Order: sequence, then structure tokens, then C-alpha cells
Amino acid sequence: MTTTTKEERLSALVDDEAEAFETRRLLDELTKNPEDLAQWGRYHLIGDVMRGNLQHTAPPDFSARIMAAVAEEPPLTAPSPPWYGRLLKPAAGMGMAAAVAVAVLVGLQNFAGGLAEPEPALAAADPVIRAAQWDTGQRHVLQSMFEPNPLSAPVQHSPLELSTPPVLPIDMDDARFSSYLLNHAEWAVGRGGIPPQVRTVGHGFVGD
Amino acid sequence: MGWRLGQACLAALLVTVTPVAASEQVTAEALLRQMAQAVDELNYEGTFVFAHDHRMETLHIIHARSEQGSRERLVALTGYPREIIKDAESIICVRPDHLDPALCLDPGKSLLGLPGVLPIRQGLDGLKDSYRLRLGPVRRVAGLSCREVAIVPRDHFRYGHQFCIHEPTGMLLKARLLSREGRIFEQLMFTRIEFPSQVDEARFQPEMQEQGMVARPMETAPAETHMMPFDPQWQVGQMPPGFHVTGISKRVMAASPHPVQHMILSDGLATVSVFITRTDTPHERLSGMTRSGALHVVALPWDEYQVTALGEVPEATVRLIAESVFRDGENMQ
Repeated sequence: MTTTTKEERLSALVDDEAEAFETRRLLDELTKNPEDLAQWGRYHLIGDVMRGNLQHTAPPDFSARIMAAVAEEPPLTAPSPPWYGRLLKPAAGMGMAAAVAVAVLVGLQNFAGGLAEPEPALAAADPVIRAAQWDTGQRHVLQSMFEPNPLSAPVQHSPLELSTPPVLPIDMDDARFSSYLLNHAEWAVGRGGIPPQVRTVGHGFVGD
Repeated sequence: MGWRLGQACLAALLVTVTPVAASEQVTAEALLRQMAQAVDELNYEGTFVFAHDHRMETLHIIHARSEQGSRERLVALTGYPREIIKDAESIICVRPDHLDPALCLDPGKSLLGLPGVLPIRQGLDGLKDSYRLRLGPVRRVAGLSCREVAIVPRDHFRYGHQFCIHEPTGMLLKARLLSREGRIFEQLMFTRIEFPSQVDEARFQPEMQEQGMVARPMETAPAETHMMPFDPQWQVGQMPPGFHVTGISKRVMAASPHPVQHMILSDGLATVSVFITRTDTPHERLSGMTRSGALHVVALPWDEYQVTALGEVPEATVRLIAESVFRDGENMQ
């Protein structure tokens, strides 16, 4: 293991082949090292391309918007000689924007769901990067780049955000739950679904 | 770095990969249909690994189909000795006498067998509003080649599935249940499988018959269940997009001394059950949530009733449904 390169370990993470401890360590590193994060993002992008998952990911004018984002990048504040500053700035800007772009692409699969699906009891223990690890501002930027048209694509709020009091954990080792689970699996999911005696109703309400 | 970098270079050259063709979509759909039929109708015997949260269990499965219907025997090879024998008439759990009957369904609902684990029982017609189907690459599982098919949720109110299907038979060899952001909740994978033309009757007799083991039915079989008219006053006020009520019934369950109203909600793939039953004392009424793998359960009291919603959907979905269940006083018959 010690001879494994970081690229290989990151790649293993993307391919879901890393062990739990390694995953935690890598994720920890990812949050600290933007280069690794970008690399990880690129591997996801590559994986998505190879699996043909990219079809619905990028809107048609995506690269144009990236370029616009690049153009809007604030000038570097560090003083630098004008000649190479001018040459280097677009390149550096492009590098940043590309990393963001990859994060956005990856974000659709890896963060978007997490934004709206907080699972407090698990979030901390899980070997998965969760949206919460991104600061809110960054998330909004990433999201807004991906909303093709705010009118046609309304933001979906998690019901949890709107919900009333927090629910407490209950004990599942209860005969009631195993009976419910069995009835759910047998009647709703298994055995060909709903038996003929059961009334089937249409959309919405259950009126008679 | 070797081949991974090679892959990267190749992928970089192939960025213009064409989207999945329409004809392939048809194949993904056909394969899923074939699979739903195969797990129920084929004869098969094999061993599979079931990973669930951070645990891993191995199970042996024998499944046969005859004129009387399908029969299945599942034997847990890890953990407590327990097995389940299922046919059209009954579900029997064989377990050590001291073992909580609930543990017969441990891990998760894997001991319900493959038809119980699979979500696709209602056809695929209503599915496309909420999911996309994708055909993946050919892989190899249990020494057989299989084709990957993914069911990708269109929003965060439901989970996705990845299957690897043995094309000649339609048999499911590997399955994953995962969230939209790629978090895997459950995986099962066959390590060995055979398709015998006939399965001997003796294979469905419990093997664990030594002292201290008991064989008990887990729940009244659907065929023998006494059905009652359901109460139309119970309604689900708000459902996540794509979900609708697909069935309601009222019957006696082991869960309660009172009859239980069972409402089934579905988005064409994911199913949520809402159980409503009267309680006799306040301490019987629970308020809270729990989960097991992808299964989320939310229990809420409603007056002197207990409302319990559960399904393999995100917590938010179960919660939204459970919280919107109400009894409409104006909808009396």
C-alpha cells in the first residue's frame, strides 16, 4: 500500500474501491488540498464520460458560461510584473474555473442530493463527502451555474427544511416494526403487488 | 498509476461519446422486465453476499417455481443461525428459541428473498416520470457475464438502483440500492449460482432442526388474511412529486390487536407503506424515526391512532408522507 501513488488512491476512491479508513483519510485530504479535489473531480468526470453518464449533466452553453465566469474573475491582487501577469492570469483563471466546472459536474451526482437530503444521524460517520462540507456560498455558486433557467427549473426545497419538530430516533427492534416491514414487503413490494381485494384509487386523495 | 491514467487519456480522447441511443433504452427496459420475471419464475440455487450499512452477511437461497407458485428457502450462513421458508401459504422463520423473531428479517429484508428485495413488481410504465433508465457495460459476477442496468432517480425524493443482469436468463446477479449522490445503502451479489431444472422437495425442508430451534409462521399469509372495509376518512394530504396512492386495505396484522389500515403509495418504483392503527394507551404511541439500510421508518401519533410510514426512500420522503396523514372528519360515509 505504501507504494501506491496518490493518483491511484484517489482513483480507487472514485471507483468505490477504497476501504473505509482510507476513504476517510482521502476525504480529509481532499478538503485540505484543492489540487487533490480537482483531481478527484476529474476522475469522476472521466468515469462519468466513460459510463456515458454525462448526457444530462452539462447544459449546451456550459462552456460559454465557464468562459463568462473566467472573464468575470477578479484580477489577482498579488503584484506581478505586467507582461507575464497578463499571460498567466487567463490560464490560472481557466484552471480555477475548470476545477469548479468539474466540481459542478460531479456535484450533480455527488452533492446535489446531499443538499436536500440531510441525514443528521449519519452525516458525521459516513465515508461520503457531503454537501455540508462545502460552504453555503460556494454551493449556491455551483448550483446557480447549473440552473439553465430559473423559471423552468424551480429550486426544490427539502421537506425537512419546511418541516416541524425534529423527529427522535425510535427503537426498531420492536415486533410491531417487523410486522409492518413484512406487510410492506409482502403486500406492497413483493408477491406481485396489491391483492385484488384491495381498493385501488387514482391520484391524490383517498376519498370514496 | 498505469492503466488508470491510460483510461484517463482514452476518456479525454472520447469526450464526444454519444449519448445512450433510444434502442438501448428499450433494451434496458426489456432487461428489467425480464429480471423481474426471472427472479420469481426461474429455478435457482446459489449463495449471495448482502452488504447493508457497514455489515456483510452471506445467505444461501433456493428458489423454485411450480404450478403451486414459487417457493423459496433462505438460510443465513453468517450471524445467528436462522432460515426462512416461504411459499404462497406461509412465511416460516426457523430460529433459536431465544432469538427475537424480528431478527429473522435481519439483515434488512434480505431474508424475504429476491422477489422481496426487488422493487420492480408493478411494471415499469409509471417509472419514467421519476427515473431514467440506463444501460451500462457488461461485467462478470459469479463466473457469469451480466449487463449493468441503472435506474437513476430524477430528484432527491427517491433512491436509485444498479443491477447486473445475466442476459440469457434474466437472473439478477448483483444489485445496489443507492442515493442520488452515490451513497450505497444495500448491495447484494451472488458468488455462486446454478439453475437446476428441478428442485427436490426435500430442499425446502428446514435443516436447522436441532434442539432449541423453533419454526414459527411470521405473519398470516395473504391468502388467509381477513380483509375489512377500509376507513375512507384517512387521507394523505401531501405527497412528494410522482407519488400517488395505489392501494388501500384494512386487515389484522401481528403489529396490533386492532385492525390496521394499510395505504400503499408508489412513484412507479419506490413504494411507501402507511400503517394506521388505533392504540389503547398513550405509551403505545410512538413519535420518531429509524432506519435500516435505505429503509426509513417514521412513526407519529394522530389522536389515539398510530401512524407509521416506511419505505426505501429518503427520510424526507417518508417524513413528508407521515406528517401529512390526517383523518378527515367531513369525509364520513
